[in-house]
Amino acid sequence: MLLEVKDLVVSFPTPDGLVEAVRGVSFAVGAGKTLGVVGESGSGKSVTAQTVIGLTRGARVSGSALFEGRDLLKMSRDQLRQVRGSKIGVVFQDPLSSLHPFYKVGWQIEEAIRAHEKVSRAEARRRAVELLGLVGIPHPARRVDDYPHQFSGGMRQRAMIAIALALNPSLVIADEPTTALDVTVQAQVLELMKRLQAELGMAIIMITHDLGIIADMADEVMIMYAGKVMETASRHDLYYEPHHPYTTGLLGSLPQSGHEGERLVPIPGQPPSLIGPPPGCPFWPRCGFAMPKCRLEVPPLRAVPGAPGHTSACWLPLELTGYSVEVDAARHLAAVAEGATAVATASGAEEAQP
Amino acid sequence: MSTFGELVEEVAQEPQLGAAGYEAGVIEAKGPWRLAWDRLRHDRVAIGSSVVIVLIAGMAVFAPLASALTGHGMDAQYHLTGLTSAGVPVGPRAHFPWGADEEGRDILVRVFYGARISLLVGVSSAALAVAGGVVLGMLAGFFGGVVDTALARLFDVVLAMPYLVFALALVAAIGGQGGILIDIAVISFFSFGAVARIVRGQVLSIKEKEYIEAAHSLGAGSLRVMFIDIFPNLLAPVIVYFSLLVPSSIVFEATLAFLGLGVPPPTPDWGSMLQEAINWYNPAWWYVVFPGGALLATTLAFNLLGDSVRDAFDPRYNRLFARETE
Amino acid sequence: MSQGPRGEGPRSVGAVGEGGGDRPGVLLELQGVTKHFPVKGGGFWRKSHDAVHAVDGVDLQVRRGETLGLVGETGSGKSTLARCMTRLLPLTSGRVLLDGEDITDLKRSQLRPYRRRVQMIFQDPYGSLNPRRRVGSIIGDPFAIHKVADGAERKRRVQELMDLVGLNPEHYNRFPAEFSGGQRQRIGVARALALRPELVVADEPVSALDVSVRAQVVNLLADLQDELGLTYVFITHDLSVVRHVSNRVAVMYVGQVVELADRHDLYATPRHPYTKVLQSAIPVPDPEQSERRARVQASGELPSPINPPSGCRFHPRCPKAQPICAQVVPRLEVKFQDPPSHLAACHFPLADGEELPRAEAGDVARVGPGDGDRRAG
Repeated sequence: MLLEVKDLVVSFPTPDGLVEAVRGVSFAVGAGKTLGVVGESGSGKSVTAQTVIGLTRGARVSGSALFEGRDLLKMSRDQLRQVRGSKIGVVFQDPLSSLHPFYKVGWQIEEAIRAHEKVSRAEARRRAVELLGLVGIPHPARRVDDYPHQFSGGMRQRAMIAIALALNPSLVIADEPTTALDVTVQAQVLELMKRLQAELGMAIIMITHDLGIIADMADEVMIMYAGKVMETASRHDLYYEPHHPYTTGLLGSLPQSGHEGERLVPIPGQPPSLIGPPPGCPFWPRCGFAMPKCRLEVPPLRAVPGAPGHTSACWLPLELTGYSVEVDAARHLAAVAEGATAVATASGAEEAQP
Repeated sequence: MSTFGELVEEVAQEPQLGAAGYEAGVIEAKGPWRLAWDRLRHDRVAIGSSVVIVLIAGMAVFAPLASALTGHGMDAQYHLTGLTSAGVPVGPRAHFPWGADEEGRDILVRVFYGARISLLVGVSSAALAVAGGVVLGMLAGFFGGVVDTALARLFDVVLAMPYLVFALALVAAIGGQGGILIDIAVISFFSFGAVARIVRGQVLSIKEKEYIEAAHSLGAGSLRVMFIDIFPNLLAPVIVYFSLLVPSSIVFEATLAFLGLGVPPPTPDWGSMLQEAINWYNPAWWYVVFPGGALLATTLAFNLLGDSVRDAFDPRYNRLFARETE
Repeated sequence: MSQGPRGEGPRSVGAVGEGGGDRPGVLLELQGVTKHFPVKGGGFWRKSHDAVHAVDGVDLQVRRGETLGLVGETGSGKSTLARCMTRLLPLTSGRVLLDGEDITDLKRSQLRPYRRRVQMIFQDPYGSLNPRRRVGSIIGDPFAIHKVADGAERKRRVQELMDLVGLNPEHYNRFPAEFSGGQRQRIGVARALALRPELVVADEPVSALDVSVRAQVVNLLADLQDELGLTYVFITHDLSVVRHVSNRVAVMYVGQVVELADRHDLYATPRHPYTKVLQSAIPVPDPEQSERRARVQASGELPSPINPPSGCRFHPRCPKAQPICAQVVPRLEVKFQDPPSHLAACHFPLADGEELPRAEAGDVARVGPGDGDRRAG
């Protein structure tokens, strides 16, 4: 495994209480693979990635993150900075604020190279031009001397990708890389990332809220909710054989072609507060299948039989998958209308289709 | 301070959240005033500086008591007990806890009475400057165009004026006949420009918010948008600015008094006491230390409280956390 | 479903052509609506003569009881068009007719009675609610502004509204910060519905919400439409949401409507290449479908609305573009044997089942003349 994160716990002390952003997350990324991390606001998906690369400030962190055999969480700032940028590339959501407005794009790429390798300025510039060409910037030899504001949004994100790839990293962490872009431009950038991965062979951690992007990009998928991993699965299993009711709920919330004008099936209620989150499974207050046990005991990630790599943090029998929310749609809808949360019962389990 | 009274009132109206917030699917959170108040309550600097301010206010209120206890009048001269036989002021001792001045007056009593002038002028000129600044700043920011251009230039002119030169000229013109009202007028005139500028900037940014557009889309008129929708959002920065303006007004007042523009002589005033002390600080250090110390303590306390209030309304961790969860 | 306030009842469900509209069933009509914003700057002494062509000559009709979807990317002018419809912005030219009455040139005070009939829901659940005011007072705003109800009566009606949109009426005294994103959007919906409008213009009402909560709000809007007989203009960049909620869809590109059709027709037989590109750009949450489908991409990025391309504004990015496309502005008209409701503005519309040439990997990166940010900068 290229990166192996174990029992990562991240919390932020605030005067309003301890914000438990990440609560025991473990995952692994293989070389050249793409791990999709999906979650809604406050799921801890971004904090997880930022902690691994040492970009969280003022947080209490425990656990381990082995990258090529070394624990990133035990490294000094300088060591981390060496790894970040050379071995691990990072692409953030907002390319405008990630690029410095006062320096030329090419200069910023050169700096990224020269921070890690002793090369001449001419050599760094030659590579900057090459990288801009690689990420599809037209006339790279000319545009290398442009300032970020002279680039369009999509081109800025391409430039960010160029910086992330400058030293041929083995892992790229992309945190909502296309959220700020228009759909037609997003399609271009995603296509670019896939092409570059095929050419250069780096692993990607793709953090997003968009299940559509994951379906397009990921090999393995990890679903996060309230700072915990709910389910991990191969892309195929996640979409066609999901186990966790939160995953089925998310998939059910999406508008689907062929069902226009029909009611969507939302997950009732709201995500829990991260200050003093509920005991037991974090999803039980919104779950149509919740049993008394769910309120009391945190379900561990258990392997789904017959599907390698498929795990689910749910007390429901693992032999069955696809706990469709639709069987309980009527009750959920009533609950939504009342602004209340579905009452926990185990009744849904029998109705679920295998 | 009345603004804090309002704050407390807001807080009192706040409904308490149930303990089982998450069960009802509610993200537990508090209103903006409540959050600020909670932070302020747990801020040691804020508590400490509030205590100092209360003590100074107590000095002002109970100045006659100090007078009664020491048996010394506010501007009575005690040539026998307050001065040595050589005519030098006596230092701190049982009868004169903070010593005496060159006329043999009790410095403690005079510092206590001086707190009255300082606080009165400081608070009321800050209030006047804030009121004027808010009204003019709001008009400029809200209406824009010609109104904005004219008012913004006015603020610039006021801010560009060298107030010390102006004050010296004023001393030359009416020196000695000044009064507390002139002090307040001069101080607030030179302070409102900064407030107005800040308020204008705030209004310009609030004006672009979607909730203002929402108010327009509901058919709300200009006055309603200004007072119902914009004004409440100005309160936090205005409260902060007010608490920072009080100490600078107190210093300004002391400066004016030092230059000879202010309350007429026999009435004690920290600024004029310092001025009179200039010739005596060598033997009579207490003559400088006590009025100066009172001035320093007051302004420092107000400044620290202002900083705390600002942090309470806009703490860094809150912004940090908002980014993490977004 | 919850019981809403029944006092007034839906004003005109199915009352086709009421109010003397010259076309039956049309509630709102836009005729050649154009909005240009002058560009600031241009030096200290001289004023700039450039303008952002936010909306350029849009003709649209909104029919009573329908949901008209308005789709477009950044700079398509969809939000500006919404503000022209609701007359939050003055028009540069063109006319806006509400129920046959011309409201184009009305002043703010004259517009007030129309504000009751046309309401907006805003995109940002954090920005559209005043953070320093209590929710009860925010939702009660319309009653206060139009002097409809006050005191206990206002509170009663606000709480009815809160109940209607699925909020706990006991939370009347809370501040917006005490609600989650989805709940805040419900507050915005309640405020918009307070005066029983006929037309609700929703500007990206669910774009800022998380997936699971988004579905809640989409359902709520659908329920309220059924219950109150509302007409919606639903503006979004998300083609999958707009397909779900709309009866008809207008696709906008750089200030103009390039295709307008019933939902089914638009998805089954898109005529404009941009519509096709937009469709294929949306990530599908289904791995097999995602692998199967041909991905056509437009080269380059969105052009600047300050100096939009000549002729068809999509031509610099269009895989089918011919010389004529750069010269002649295509008219929005019926193509092939399409029903009269299906209009497209294209010289070379796509035939049934026609695929666009698939972009080459290198081509994708080509940033053509459409790369407008440079000129804008």
